[in-house]
Amino acid sequence: MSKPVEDKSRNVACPSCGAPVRFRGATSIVAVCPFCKSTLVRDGVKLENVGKQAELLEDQTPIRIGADGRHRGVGFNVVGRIQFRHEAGLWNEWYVLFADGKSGWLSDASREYTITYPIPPQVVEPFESLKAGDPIHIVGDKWYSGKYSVTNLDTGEVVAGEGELPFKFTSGWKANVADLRGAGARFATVDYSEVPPRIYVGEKLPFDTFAFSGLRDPERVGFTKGTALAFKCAGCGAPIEKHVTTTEVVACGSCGTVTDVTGTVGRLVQKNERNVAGFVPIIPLGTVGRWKNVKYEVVGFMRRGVTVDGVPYQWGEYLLHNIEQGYAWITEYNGHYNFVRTAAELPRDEEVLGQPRVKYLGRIFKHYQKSQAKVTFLTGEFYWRVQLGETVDCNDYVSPPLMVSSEGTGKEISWSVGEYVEPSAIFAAFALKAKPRKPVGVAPNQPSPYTGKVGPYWLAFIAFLALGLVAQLVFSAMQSSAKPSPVPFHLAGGETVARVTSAPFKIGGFGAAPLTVRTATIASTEWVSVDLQLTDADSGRAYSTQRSLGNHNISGNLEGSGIDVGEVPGVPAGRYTLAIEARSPKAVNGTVEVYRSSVGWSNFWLFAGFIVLWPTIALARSMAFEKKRWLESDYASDSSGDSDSDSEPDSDD
Amino acid sequence: MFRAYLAAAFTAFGLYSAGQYKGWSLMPSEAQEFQRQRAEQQSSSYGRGSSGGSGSSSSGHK
Repeated sequence: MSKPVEDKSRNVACPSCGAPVRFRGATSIVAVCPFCKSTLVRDGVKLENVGKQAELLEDQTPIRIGADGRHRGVGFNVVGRIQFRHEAGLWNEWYVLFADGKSGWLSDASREYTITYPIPPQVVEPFESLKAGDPIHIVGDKWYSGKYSVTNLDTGEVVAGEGELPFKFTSGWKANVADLRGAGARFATVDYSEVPPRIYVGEKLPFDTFAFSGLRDPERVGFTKGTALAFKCAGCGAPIEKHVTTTEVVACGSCGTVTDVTGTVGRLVQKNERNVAGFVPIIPLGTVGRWKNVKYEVVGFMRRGVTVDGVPYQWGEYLLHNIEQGYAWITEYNGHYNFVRTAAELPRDEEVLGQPRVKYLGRIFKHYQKSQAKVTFLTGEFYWRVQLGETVDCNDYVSPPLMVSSEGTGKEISWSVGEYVEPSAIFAAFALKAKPRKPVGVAPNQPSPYTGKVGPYWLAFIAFLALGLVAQLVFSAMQSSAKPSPVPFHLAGGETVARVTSAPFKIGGFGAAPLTVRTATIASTEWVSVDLQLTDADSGRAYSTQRSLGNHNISGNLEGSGIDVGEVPGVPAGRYTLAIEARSPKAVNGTVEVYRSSVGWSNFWLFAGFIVLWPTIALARSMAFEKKRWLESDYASDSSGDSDSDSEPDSDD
Repeated sequence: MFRAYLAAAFTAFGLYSAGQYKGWSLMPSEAQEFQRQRAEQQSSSYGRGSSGGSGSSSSGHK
């Protein structure tokens, strides 16, 4: 609960009607009589009636005089209000008194809320020389000093006021104002109606952060379905309706003509001959739905498009309205949906080479596309004077599932943040009976189904590869653990047969892998036939083989080799004796070597090649998804983006 | 899908181990490679017959 605001009020009687009028703030010099609307100005003990106030226009603001709220833990009470009109409709400046004695201004512009405090005057650029995006440096206390950017240049006209206020004002009084955004939620307004300009600094915050109480009854100021104001289209005369009081224009569903509905009679803004024939919004106007526990009504729909390399791209934008949260959008492109709200803070450029990036709420967004979007279809209500053919310069930055976008005209830069949502979620939220169409392609901020899934594949691959490598080393070590000495044999001159039996020796290895038999003769030019028999010294099991080697004299040429390599299959490890029976026509010396060949790597590489398939395919799919994402971006050629190396398929595998 | 991958990888590891145990190999053994080279040498000698390098083996109980 906020601390109660200390009441230092001074009560006076209205000179016009005698009703009690209260000045609660020490700095309040104007109070509007709540009964007769007389504007009372106090000067010391004197009280002057400077005339009656004009009527305030109903704008469905949820705030009212007497409401309480909090900012940074300090409670405030709403005591006064000035209502302004500008190009984009009405906005209110609520004068608030804090519990600690200071005062400030709570701005409510189309349900976007800022709270600001006056700071000492300082030199700023003249209003006329400013344009959207220009930097302005504000000096002063640490909490507000720093670099700001111009986001909006506008001229406001006072409609009327109520309650108590810190300065005199009159209806019709105009002021040039520049809105600025700083780091994070920082916000500033420069009011050029005086010299030097007044500067107010503060924060732009979501409605809920103010912890309001004592607001207007949302049921009474909420949806006005059934109580809409009826107008006639200024183009074709068809009936049109205004459901939301902040609506500036209504685009006729029949002919597309844009009609100003701020007065009692519709006035022509833009005459159009026909709307796009046969185009029906997927979400009908007037549909009420609940998104993230906020009730929204679909009040307007527009289609916008860009042309890139001669190819037109079009998407739909549904304007949603909630009495407290203000406006939001649902965008639809090729069956992909985004829920879009005004950005909570101004995204900051990141100083990087190559692809531009911005930082928003601590998150990095990569630039996706720069385009000039043009309005091609309009129907329903809008809170600004939108027209067919209106163009804005857009820049989109993505960080799935979010996308921040800037829309700039010469006078204003607005930032929005969109979140990719599944079509089925939108259809469920707005109770649409139709089945959503299957999305085409990949949306710029569509979350990759592979995110976070490729990595585990590679980790598992590395683990299995290491396991295989260890196994390979163990097999190799076991196989070559015992290599017996060569067994010599000697055939003396005149002998034809030599018989040798070795002492028992150990054959190492494992399993029943083949045994290699290498026979060699030394300095012999004759042929030799060798019968070999390996006998297991323990079991008596014998393995025999016959080898022939040496040279033959063929037509005077010696052909052959003094070496022979063969193998005996299926010989298990154990203790063996080797019996050699050599035959040759002449004396010969030789050796027989029996051993296990070293373990081959082919099985290991086959295994490695098999298990690398999954991670490779997963990575390829992830990269293909990212390539599709960036296909329609300004960076399609480098197929860049993020080949999210941390991903894997979650389907059809 | 990831579980299927783990299962396949474990199976592959088992097959690899069995292959090593049994001495299976895609690559020729030392003896096979020797015989291949010998055969190449003989064929390059205009097919004038062979000499040595051949043999047979058998195993069994004594």
